Amino acid sequence: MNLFPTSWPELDRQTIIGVSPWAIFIAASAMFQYLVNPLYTSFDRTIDGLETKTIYARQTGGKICVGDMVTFRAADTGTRYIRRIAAGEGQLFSVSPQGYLIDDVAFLADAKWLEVARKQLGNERSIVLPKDHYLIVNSEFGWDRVGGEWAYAVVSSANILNRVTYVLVSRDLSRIGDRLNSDGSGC
Amino acid sequence: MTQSLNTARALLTAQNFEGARRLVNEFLEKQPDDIGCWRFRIQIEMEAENYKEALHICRNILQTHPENAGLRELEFDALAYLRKKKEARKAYEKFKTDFPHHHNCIETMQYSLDALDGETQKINRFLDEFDIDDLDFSVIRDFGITYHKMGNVFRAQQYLEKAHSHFFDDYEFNKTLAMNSLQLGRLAKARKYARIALGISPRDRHMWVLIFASYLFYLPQFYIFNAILVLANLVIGLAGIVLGFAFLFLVGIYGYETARFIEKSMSVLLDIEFLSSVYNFYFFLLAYLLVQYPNYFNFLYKRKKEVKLKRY
Repeated sequence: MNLFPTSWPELDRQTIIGVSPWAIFIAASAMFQYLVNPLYTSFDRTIDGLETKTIYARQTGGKICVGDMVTFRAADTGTRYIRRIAAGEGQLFSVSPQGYLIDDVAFLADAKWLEVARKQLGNERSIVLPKDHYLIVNSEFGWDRVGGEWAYAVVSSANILNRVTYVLVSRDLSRIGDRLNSDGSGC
Repeated sequence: MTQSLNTARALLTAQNFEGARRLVNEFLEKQPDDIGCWRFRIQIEMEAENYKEALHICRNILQTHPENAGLRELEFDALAYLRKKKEARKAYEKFKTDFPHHHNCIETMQYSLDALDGETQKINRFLDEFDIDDLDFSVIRDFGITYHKMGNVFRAQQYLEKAHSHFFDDYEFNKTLAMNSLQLGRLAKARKYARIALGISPRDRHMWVLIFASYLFYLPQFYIFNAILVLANLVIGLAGIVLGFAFLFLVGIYGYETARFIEKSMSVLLDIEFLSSVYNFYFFLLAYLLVQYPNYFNFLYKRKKEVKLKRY
């Protein structure tokens, strides 16, 4: 039972002092979300190149290097995937009986991957990557919820949406702020 | 007669308005000129929050007894509860000309008119003049409740806690103390007083909801919600409802994203995987509404059955 009817708070000095920290907090959080696009990884399993139980920052723009984890859009279907870039401009990609080759460096792959890759390649034996194009090898089938099976993809830089750059939050506190792929092998 | 009126008084303290009403009506059929009893009848309606009915009865009796100051005061109170500013001001001015010697009544009316206009500073300043150590415990309780209604929760907590040892079995008092503790963020205390109130009246939905809601304060999302709603209230008070809703909509999106980030980072740092979902945000909004405006959700519950009294 109300003894007196309620009233709106007045905008006096006290109210402004009380409310301003909250306003600053909300403005800061809005700015944070405008600048950083967080990527949350699962507790159980992640794709190759990312750790479990971590939050990464994703950024648009900047130089794309071989070895970067990127979000890209498939040119035909438009679905989005997060994978590591395997090779860059001018490099040679070919499929061998045991796996695949990138500039005479051999990688092993299982029988299922080889089957799908041969289907995708068709009559061609190898691919030389054109300018501003990157090769992405899908070593983990069934990871994505949508999309059919694909062994590799050649993606133009326009279809690469953002890169996974920094570790924002981790259980290992010394890892916070670490940059991914600091070796810069491709650049 | 006195026995039945005492029974009615006991029923009123037990929140059984229907039973109290019936007994008083029986009494009034035999003695329709008893003004004291009519005042008690109005008091029942005020306690049951039927202010319209209270005002109706009050005006009916005032036609034959316009000189009764107590009834005039009750009329003003009912108008204030109904938030009829203009009529309340008229009643106040009439009261002032008819009973200029009722200084205390006039002063309290002035304060409630100020409260209707949203000016709570005057009454806060007036109450601050008194020293808590000089006051009687019943006065400390009333001051505490007034501070609570005026939004001065820190002072209210001080006064109410001091008076609690004398009114530990008072239902309304414990209810106010629980709500005030929740507003201050003293969750364990809020639960404690809510449980005492539930011990007196176990069917109080508001207290059950309060106990449930006090657990929500341990979650980070809830604090973000509070901030959003405080800011939204400010904006509504200043620039109108439309702007307020636009603000709530804009900030709500960011609030959700921030809440998700905080929740996820806490789960990473503490190595605990929360069972969270996208609909948490809306769930907490609903919980907040349930606490703040529980009467809007009355349609979810069954109606209370009338308590049939034995005739002794």
